[in-house]
Order: sequence, then C-alpha cells, then structure tokens
Amino acid sequence: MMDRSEFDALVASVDVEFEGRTQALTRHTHRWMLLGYAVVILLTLLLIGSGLALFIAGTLWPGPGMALIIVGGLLIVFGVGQVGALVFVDQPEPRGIELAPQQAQNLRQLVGMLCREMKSPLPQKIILTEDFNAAIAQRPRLGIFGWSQSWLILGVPLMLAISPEELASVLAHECGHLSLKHGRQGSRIYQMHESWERLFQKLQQNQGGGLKSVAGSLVIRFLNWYWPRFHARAFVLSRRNEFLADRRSAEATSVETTADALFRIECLSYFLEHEFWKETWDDAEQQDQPPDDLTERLRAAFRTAANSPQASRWRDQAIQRVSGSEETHPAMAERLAALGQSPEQTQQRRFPESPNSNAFDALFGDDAADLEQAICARWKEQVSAIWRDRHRRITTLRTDADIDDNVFADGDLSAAELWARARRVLDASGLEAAEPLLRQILASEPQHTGANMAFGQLRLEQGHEDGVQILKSVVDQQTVDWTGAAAAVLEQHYATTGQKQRAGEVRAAMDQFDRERAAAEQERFQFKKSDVWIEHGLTEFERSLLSDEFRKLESCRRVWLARKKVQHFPDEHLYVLVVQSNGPRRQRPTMEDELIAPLMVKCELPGRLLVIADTGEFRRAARQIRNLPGSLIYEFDNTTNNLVPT
Amino acid sequence: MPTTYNGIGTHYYGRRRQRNRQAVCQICGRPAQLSTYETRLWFVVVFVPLIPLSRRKIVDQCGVCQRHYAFPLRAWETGRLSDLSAAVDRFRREPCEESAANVHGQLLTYQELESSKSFRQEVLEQFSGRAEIRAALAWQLESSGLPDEAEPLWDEAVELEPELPAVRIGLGRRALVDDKLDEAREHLRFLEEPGAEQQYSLDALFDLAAAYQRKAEHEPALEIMQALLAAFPDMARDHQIRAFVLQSEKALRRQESILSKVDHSIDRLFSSQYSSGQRWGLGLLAALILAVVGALINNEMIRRGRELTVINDTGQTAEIRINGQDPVMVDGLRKLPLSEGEHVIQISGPVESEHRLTMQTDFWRRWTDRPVWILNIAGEALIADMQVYYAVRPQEPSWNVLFDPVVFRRHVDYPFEEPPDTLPLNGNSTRTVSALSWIQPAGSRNAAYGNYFLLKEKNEAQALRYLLKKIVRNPGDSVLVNLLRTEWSRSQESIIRTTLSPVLDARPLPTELHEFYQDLPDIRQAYEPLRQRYTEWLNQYPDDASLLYLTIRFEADPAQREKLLQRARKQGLSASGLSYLQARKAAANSDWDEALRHAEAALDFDHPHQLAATIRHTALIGAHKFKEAESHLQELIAKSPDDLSSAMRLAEIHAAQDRREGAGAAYREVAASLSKEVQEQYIEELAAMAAIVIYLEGDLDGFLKESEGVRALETMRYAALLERSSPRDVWNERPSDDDPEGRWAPLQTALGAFLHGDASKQRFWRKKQISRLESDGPFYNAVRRIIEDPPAADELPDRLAATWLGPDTQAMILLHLASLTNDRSEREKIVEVARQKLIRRVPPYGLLRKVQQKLLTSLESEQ
Repeated sequence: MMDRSEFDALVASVDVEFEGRTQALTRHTHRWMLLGYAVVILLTLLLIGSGLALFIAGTLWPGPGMALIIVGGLLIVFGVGQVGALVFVDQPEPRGIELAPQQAQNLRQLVGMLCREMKSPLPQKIILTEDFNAAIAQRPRLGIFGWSQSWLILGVPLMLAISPEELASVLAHECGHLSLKHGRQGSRIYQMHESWERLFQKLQQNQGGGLKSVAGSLVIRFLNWYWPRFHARAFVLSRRNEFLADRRSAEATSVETTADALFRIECLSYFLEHEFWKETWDDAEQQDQPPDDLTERLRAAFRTAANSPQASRWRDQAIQRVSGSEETHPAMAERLAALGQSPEQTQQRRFPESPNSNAFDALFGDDAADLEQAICARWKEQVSAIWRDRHRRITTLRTDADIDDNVFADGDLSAAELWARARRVLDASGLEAAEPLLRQILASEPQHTGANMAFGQLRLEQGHEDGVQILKSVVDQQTVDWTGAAAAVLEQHYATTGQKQRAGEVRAAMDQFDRERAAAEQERFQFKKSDVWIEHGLTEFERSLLSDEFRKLESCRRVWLARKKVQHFPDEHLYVLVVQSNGPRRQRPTMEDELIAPLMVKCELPGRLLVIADTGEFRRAARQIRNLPGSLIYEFDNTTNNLVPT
Repeated sequence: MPTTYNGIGTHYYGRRRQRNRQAVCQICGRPAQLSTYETRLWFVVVFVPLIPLSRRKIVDQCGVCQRHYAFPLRAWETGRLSDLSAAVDRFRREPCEESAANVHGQLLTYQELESSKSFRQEVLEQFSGRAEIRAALAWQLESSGLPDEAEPLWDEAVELEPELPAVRIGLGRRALVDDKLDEAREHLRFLEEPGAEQQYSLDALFDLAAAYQRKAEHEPALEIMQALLAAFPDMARDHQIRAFVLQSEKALRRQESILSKVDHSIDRLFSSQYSSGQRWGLGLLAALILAVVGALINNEMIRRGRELTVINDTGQTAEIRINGQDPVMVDGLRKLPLSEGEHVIQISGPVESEHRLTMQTDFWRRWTDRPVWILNIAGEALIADMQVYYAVRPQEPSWNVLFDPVVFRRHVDYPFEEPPDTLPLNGNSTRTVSALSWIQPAGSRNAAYGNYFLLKEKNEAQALRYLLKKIVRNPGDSVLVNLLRTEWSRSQESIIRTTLSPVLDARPLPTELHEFYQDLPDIRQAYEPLRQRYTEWLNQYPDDASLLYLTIRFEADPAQREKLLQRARKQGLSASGLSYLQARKAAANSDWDEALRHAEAALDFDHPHQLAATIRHTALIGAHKFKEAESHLQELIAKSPDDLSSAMRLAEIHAAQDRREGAGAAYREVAASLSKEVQEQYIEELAAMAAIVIYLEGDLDGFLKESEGVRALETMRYAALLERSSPRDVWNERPSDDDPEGRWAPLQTALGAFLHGDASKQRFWRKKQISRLESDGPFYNAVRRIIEDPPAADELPDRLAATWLGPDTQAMILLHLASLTNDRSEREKIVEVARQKLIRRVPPYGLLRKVQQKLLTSLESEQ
C-alpha cells in the first residue's frame, strides 16, 4: 500500500511529467480508468466470453446447437448482468430547489449565452442550494457509456456574495467544465469508485475459502497497487481541469473578473466557516430552532465581512493556501497565477468589499424573494434536527455543570473528570467554549494529550502560532488516540498558511507513525516461538493488588505474568497473563476461558494487558511464560484453601 | 456452513469450551438457548470424520433454528484478545462514556456475559446520572438478544433524560417489539420531523411503518413513509418502498399517491428501483431473445448446411455439376454440402442425366429431424433403409432396399453410420432408430447379381427394375441378360419391353439382349414393328454381321430367312450368330456334318456358347460320333473340373450308346467337387441337371422324384409323366400356357393320349397345340400349317426343316402326324424320318420313343 509521502511524490511526478500537456494527461488518465474497468469486469468478461463462444458454436453447429445456444445465452445474460451490476452505478441526483422553467429568466439567458459561446450543452436543470458553491453535476444515463444529463447547481449564499459579473465568471467556469466534458470525467471516476466498492462488497459477501479468497486477495493486491496510481493522475487532472475552466471563464468574461470572483469566494469561504457559521450556530445555545432569516443574515454578514477584525487573516489564508495532493481544486493563488496574475498582484489584493449589487438580486428579479424564502426554509429544515440536538446538549451540559458546580469546587475535580466534562463541551459547543476547562486540565496535568490536542487546535484557530508547538508535542507523543488527529490539524494549518514543505513533513511523520503502529499491533498480538519474555517488574504492592483480584475468582488457581519484549513503542508495555484454573482436567479449558475476560477488565497494569489460558489457543506462549523464572505471581492451594507463597 | 451430500462433505465434530445462554436468537428472532463453543470441521465420508480441516468458533447456535455464526478459532481468539485489550486500554486512558460503552460492547460481542454484567454495574456507578451511557448499554444488550437486561437501563435513562434521542429511539424500539405501535410512534415522532435524517438513523421509522402495515393500520404507515420519503427522496425509486407504499395506498383506496413518478432508465436497472425478480425477468427475457435469435441463426445454418449424399455404384467416376457450379467427381459415396432450395443437378460419366432436386424441410422440424437427400447415380446403388430396435429382447431389424435415383428421407438417425450395438433404456422400454447404409457386395458383376437376389427376397418387381436398370446401362453384359432370361416372368413382359426397347439402339450391338428381346412372347406376336426396325437398321448398317444374324433370327418367313442367309454368305460376313444359324439350319435338315462344322465355327466365336454347344452335341449323337464326343467332353471336363454341362452331356453320350448304367458317374464326380457355396448358390440348376442325369441312366421314377418342383424341368417332367401315365392323370401338371418352354406341351399330351388310345383327347390336344401356335405369332405359322394341314410324307421333312426347329421337336411333330395318318406307307415314311430325328436322350425322348414303338408295332401288325 502506498503511503502519503509516496503518493505525494507520485502526484508531483505526474504533475511534472504532464506539465503543459493536459490533453495527454486526460488520455493517460482515461487509459488508467479503462484498466480499472477492465479488471473490474475481467471475471465477468470471461463469463461473457465463454457464453459467446458457446452461443456462436451453437449457431454454427446444426444438431446439438440449441442446447449450446441456450447455455451460451444464459451465460451472456448472466455475465452482462454482472458487468451491469458493477458498471451501471445509480448516481444520486443533486438535491435542492429546482428552478421552474419560467423562473430566473435573466439567469437562464446568461447561462444560455455562455453555453452558446462556449459550445457547451445547456444544463437540463438548474438547482439552488444553501451551499457557498457553484457546480456542474452530470449523470450518465447509460453508465460508463455516457448519454449524460447535467445540472447547474448554484448556491444562494454564493450568489448573495458576488457581483453579477463575478457570477457570470463562475457560470462561465462551470460551462467551461461542461464544454470540456469534465463533468463526464468526474462522473466516470465516481462510477468507477462505486464499481470497485460493489466489487469489494461482493467479495466480502462471498467470503469463503478456496478460489474466492484467492480472488479476493488478488483484487485487494491489485487495488493497493492501482488505486493510488489512478487517483494520483485523477487528482492532477482534476486540478488541471479547473485551470482550463478558469481559462474559459476568463475568455468569456475577463481575467480580472474571474480573478476577482475566485479571490472573493476564497476569502468569504474562510469568513463564513470561521465567523458566520460559528456565530449562527452559537445561537443554538439559546434558541431551540434555527433562525428563519438565513439569507438576511448572510446579506448582512457579506456587507460587513471586510470590516471583520479577522478579515486580513482570512485574506492571508486565502492567498497562502497551497493545494494538497488529494485535492480536486487547486489553491486560489495557483489559479490566479494560472490566469496570469503575478504574485505581487495577488499580494496586493485586500479582503474584498461587498459588491454594489449581488448576483442573486440582479439575476433572479421578482423570483428572488420567493426563492430566498424557499432556500431559508430548506436550510432550516436541513439543520433543524442537528440544531435541536445541539441545543439539547448545551442545555444538558449547562444543567450538569450547574449540578457539578454545586457539588464540587473546581479544585475537587481530577484532570480526568475535567477532561470528561471538556469533551462533552467540545462535543456540544466547540473549542472556544471548552477553553477554560482545557486550561484547567493543562494547569494540573500539562502533558494531558487530549487537552493539549484540543488546546493546540484552538490556539491555531484563534490565529496563535503557539498552537503549532502544542500540536507538535502531541504528535511526538505518538499515542494511538491523538497523534493522527493532531497531525491532521497541523497539516491543514501548514496547507492554509502556505507551508507546503512542513505539511509534507507532517504527512511523512504520519506515514512513519502508521507503519510503526501497524508493526506494533502485529508484534503485540502474534505469538511466536521467537518471542522474548522478560520479568514483569511489578512491585510487591502492585502484585498484591492483582492477587486481590485473582482471589475474587474462585476457579483461579495459578497465574503467571510476563512482559513481552517489543521493538515498536517499547515504552508501551505489553503484559501477558497466563491463567490456570483449579477445576477437573476436562473442565479446565472452559473454566480458564471464563477467567480471561474478567481478568482483562479487572487487572490494571502500567501497560496493555493480554490474558491467555494455560490450555487455550495460545498454550505455547503460555508455556514459555510459565517457564520464565519469577513469572508465577499467584498460586492458590484449594486443598488447604491457602495462598502459596510465590 | 458445513454440507454433506450422501454422507460425503464437511461436518463439525466435537465441542469444547461450551457456554450456553438464554436469549433471543438474532437470526430467527425466537427466545432460545444459544450455545457458543469450539469445534473442528472435518471432511467426512458416510459421516465418518477422515480429514481434519480447521478449528472453528461457533457462536450463538440457536437451539431452535440451529443457525449460528462461525469463525476460524484462531482469528476469533486473536480478535478477542486484541479487541478487548484495546477497548480496556482505551478505557483506562480515557475513562469516558464512549470508551466504557466500547468495552461493554466488546464483552458482549465475545459472549463474556458475566464480565459485561459486572463491568456494566461499575460503569453505571461511575457514570451515575448519565442517561446516554445507559441508553448505549441498553441498546447493546437489546442487540445481543438480552432485552430483559436492557429494560432497567432504559427505565433509568428515561428517568434521567426522557428527551435524549437515543433513549427515545430505544423506547420506541421496545414498544415496537411489544407491539405497542402508537406508543412507539410517540417515542419516535421526533424522527419524523424534517431534517431528522441529517442527525439520526431513521431505521426505527421503517420498522414502525412496516409494523403498522402488518397490523393493517395503513394511515399511520403512510404518514411515516411520507416523512421518510421527504427525508430520502431517492428512496421513492426503491421497488420495495414503492410496493410498500402502494400496498397501503391500495388498502386506503387513495386516488393520489405520495410516490413520485419514476423514470425508467437502463443505468438504474441495477439499482433498487427494480427488484431482483424484475432484473431476472428482464435477464431471462434477454436470454430468451438471444436464444430465439440464436435459434433462428441455427435454423438458417441448418438450412444452409444440408448435405446431398451422392452414391455412385456404377464403377465409373461420375461428374456432378450442381447449379452450374464447378463439377465434383464422385466415385463411391460422397457428401456434398448444399443448402435447402431448388437445385439442378447434372450427372455425366456413367450416365448423362439431369435432376431437379427440391431440398425443403419444415421450419420447426429442422431442429429435430435429420433429413437425408441421396442422389443414387443411375439408381445402381442399393441403400438399405433400416429400422433397428433396441429393447431387452429386441426384434430383428427390419429393412427395405432403396435404389431410386433420388431418395429423400425426412429423418434418419444414423445416415450411412453404423447404429450402436446397445443403447441405454429405461426398464422395459423400447426404442427404434432409423439408419441408412449403402449395400456394397464385392465385385461389380457379382455385385449386380447378388444385389438382384437381395432385392428379390424383398420384392420381385423391385428386383426386376433393378436388373433392367443395370441392363439398360450395360446392355452388353451377358451375365445380366442371362439373369434376366432366367428370372423374368410373363407378367413382367410389358415393363421389360418398355425398358429395353430403347436400348436396342445401343452400339456395339447388344446381341444377347436382342436375342432375349426377340424371344419375348409379345414381341414375337407383335412381330412387325421390330422386324421393321431390323430392316431399317440393316439398311443403315448393311455390313453388320451381328445385325444380319439378329435380323435372320427374327425373320419368321423361312424363305426370307434363307434369302438373308444367302446374302450373308455372299457378303462373306462371318459372325458367331451366323455360324450358329447355319448350324441350326443344318441340324434341322439332319445334315450332321454340316451342323457340326458350323457349330464348331460358332463355338470358336464363343457365342452363343450353350446353343452352339448343344447343336454340336446333337450333331455328334446324330452322326454317331460317340467316341469323338466322349473324348472331347472328357477333355473339357479335365480343362474345367466344374464343367457340369459337359459332364451331363457325357452322360447323354453314354445313354445314346445304351451305356445307361453309371452314365452319370462323371457328372456326379464333377458335382461333388464343387464347393459347398457354389452348390448352395446353384442349388436349383444342380438339382435339374442331377434329375436329367438320373433320367439318362434310365430311372424314370427317380427323375420324376428329383425333378419335382424344379421350375427349369417343368416341360421335361411333364413329358416324363406322359411317358408313364395317362394324360388324364397328369395333364394338370403341364406347364403354363404362358410358358414359352411349354409350347409343345399340348402336342406331348396328344401323343400321350395316342399312347393310351384316346383318340378324342388326341384330337383335342392337337387343336390346343394349333391354337397355342397361333397365339405364339408368325414365327410358328409354318409349323402350325404343317400340323393343321399336313403335307405329303415326302414333302414333310423339307417343310419341317425349313422351320429350323430342332430335330427332337421335328421328331415329335412327325410322330404326331404319323399317329394321325391312316395311310400306312405315309405313316411308315414319317416314322422313319422321325426315327432319324430322334437324337437326344433327354425328355421327351422316352415319350417319343414309346410313340414310335407303338407306331412301328402298328405298322408291323398291319403288315
């Protein structure tokens, strides 16, 4: 399996190899796609091929031909059915408010004009959504064979934010995709993804021995090899396609208008994500229903966005963001550069002021009010359950906090208890609400990984660079629970601040961590003859605590304990406890089996614990541990009913 | 799942670490004892475990339905260690509700019920007052088939936070299980609100709607479905959902449906819009269409891929040209690919013919029948059309012989293939298959001979047709002509005449065929047309000796005959036939030396061998050249040890010398030397010759006994019978009136009547003889006139000699005429002439001899 660094390197090499040769890259990616389909349908093709052979033989062979024709026909139909089931993917239709033919005539005229100009097919339907986005969706009626129908998806918030000229640029960009058949490409990639999913599901459904498992493992091997290689090309192609669509857009409008639109959308994306939506959702603390006036709020927010204290930060992030290997859209700065905007020109841009008139009002005319209301209602409907749940959580949390506050003073709560409460606050209200608790935890336990992770993330969100150090410390701790999450936040931070190399370093560190972690898991849960067992190293007190637990289990006769010497994450100790029961010989396996789970749950050791039965599946490891001097930590003489000193 | 077939397959044997619990089976949904244990999978034969395959962990085997989950034991144990350890480890590090629920869930997954119980208690204490953990644990217990243990947890959760979604869903599900649907709906109502799908799973709503529908409460069922369709609009395409909704709408008689209209498209064929039944139906329809298309192509291929089986048994390579295409050479059997339709087939080589062949079969029967078209060149090949029976005690195959030039059989199971010796049959059933095979006796000449008798066994008429066909194609084949001469019957004369008439034109002249044709009674009777043809041919080929011979042979007028003979002499023509005729003429004149000379000349030409040989033999006896005859015949026998004719003639030479005793020794020696096969093949001929030899030895009774039933001896036998008995007693045994050989039977009968002094009968049979000769046509006019109006004794020898009748026949006529005349001197003269003519010793020698004796006695008495 290709790791992140290898994937990044591959993407970079594809990018270099096809520099300025998008057509070649398209063909190349198509060939890879065909390979994917070829393998998906290989088995069924064999079926169809043999069916076809029988069918032809049947038609040419007078006499017993009819039987061959029938068998061949059934094989062909079955094979085609199998191929169809894999290849014909029912792509969901985009959801939203579909514009009636008589609505938004200005918009329709604009789209029509742009389509004519770009010689692209006219989208069959126009859908309005509550997203801050515009897109073209295509759905082939005949699966991989095409005959697409297309939708133009327009987010009302986006249209409220940009000028009519900028919307024309956005529409031109989307029409560019249509004219260049990018939607079809995307759709095919989507379909192939689904086909592979289905194949996987089939293989899982048919899991068994023999050929099926061999076929399954072969498919997985192929997929491990193929999937990243195909996607590397698909991602590069997708980003190239965006450049091409931008170019079309600039040709249809102007470079400046296209660049302005891209810049405004990027800046406002950050603004919406980090300010507008946050503030809107904060209302859930007080109100149990989402607001009815989303568009009004958006209008107001867009009017004042440029005056936001964070505006320059959003502008910086918009300019500095670099695109990752797995992104379908290039970073805004790269897009502007591709349009011929120099870095200096880009740097000189300020957070965009609200346009004099927005595209929505300009293009929807009399329909604007109704559609605005409909989109508000739709958004409200979409989020109401989440909203109510959030409101309920916050209310409950507040009630619990009140109760806790009445019962405990802050100092009475342990770091673990504070962390438990912080988690609930994080879950319900987000990072900022949890900040006081996080600070409290870190004051008492500065190395608390979870709290550091959340606090580091919060600091970064607030624009404080010390968050990086905090998250780095979490990554360095190499814990199962937090390292991955901290690395992801760090990577995102580096990407949005243009630190591509550091983002790469984080990804490389994550690769290493994943490898180590996988090796560690394998090392810990596979018992081998070559395993090295070392003394448990427990104190007398710790042993006595354990003995108390053993004594509670009547059938427990002897217990041995040892530590496994591990190569990966050696500080994370692995203890293996061997238990022997005192029952009759025939009943011992069952009795020992019944001891495993209670001991695993009850025994607390400074590391991870595995409990195995003396007569169980892992009896060779048990014998090795028994033979280790000093491993016997508990022995109960049931004849005298006394503990035997060990 | 292990499976066995007739005791062979895989089976679980042995149980270890078994744990039982009472719970609700997750598969069949019934409360039962669920067992979890370790076992081993074996390969078994007759349920005896032979090969251990793998160890398995059987989980929750239901005591009622026996269904269970099975895992490889090692994987289960490793999973238990790692999953439990990871869950516990995480809980130690993060002792939150989520990690606690995780541990609890793992314990339940691995059937650690006791541990889960104690852990649950600890967790509930640790998170007292928290509804979410209670709901989570309760849900895990419900999912593990332990609803009783879940109940208190639900209660506690409700008490703590009744509006918690997890609690409401859990309570809703519980009410659903308890069949309290309205209560369940109350709990789950929040899921029906718009946008709920964004936050919660709506599975419980589906179950609730289904439960309402089961209880025929369609209104709430539809309300819930409407909410679900609003949440998941794409779901409206799902065939199961549609069926569900339509069922409730139908029950409520709703005019308008809550379902949106669905478009049919091929890309959704494999989506849930269509049921697997519909897909299978469509698939089968496609398969059917494919099969129909394939069947039509197959039918067309069958139609185009027919074969014409050409059999050429003529011994000469045939050139077959079909529809003017390039010719194909056929020798023996060859299958030529040909499509059904109209075809023009031209054959050249052994025959020149053209056939218009229509190859056509029924459309539907093309798949079931194996039709066979056969082109049998000149119809010379014999094709056995057989029905072969298969049964425990099968009957003999039945067969028929085909030799038509074009044969079509609608269905033949084994066309020109050997049918199998055995076929599998059920019980006492029988099966009949058809087969065609080409009958190929070895050797072309014998082949025709053998084929003729093979056919004759089945159908005489067919056999004659076959023989005629062979003769038509080989008119010069004396074997075939002689076969026809011996085998034909009067009833077949018409077809023979019609078939052979055109062949007479053949060149070189088929002399023996002409002779046979000339001898046909109808031809002899309707004499003129053929005579005319000979005249024309003779004008055309005046120097053709054979033609002249045949013309003379067919000339009824003795004067004209003599004239033609003189013409031949003048022209210096020599041919076997002419020599024979001259020998015949000389024998008729009792000029034995001349007859001997010409007969030997004819024999040198080797035709007609037997007739010339007979004249020679008669002449030798007539000339009393017994020694010469004897040594010559012995020489012939020495040369050909199987020469029965010579041996028989030798016996006659001995008899002529009154050395009757042991006269047939040589014949018997020769006959005994013949192989058994030959004896069997010529059984009738041998019987006839043996009888004659007995006669020559003077054993009349022996002859009569041996000749009984021998067709060739009918006339002789009748004469012998008359020799012994009164005509009144034997006349019924006379040869048929149609039999040319029996032409003189009435005269013989008259002689018999004379012997017995029955004058009236003598007259009667005389008249009969006259009318018989009359009916025999112009050839017998001269002799008829002699019998009818006898000339004077002095004229009589010449008149008779001019008829070219054999000396024995002349003797018979003379004796008859002598018996009628009252003039003693006339009678004496005639008897004397008759004595000279009575040369041969074969029947009716005895009869004639007796008549002669009686006449002599009467002459003596008159003196």
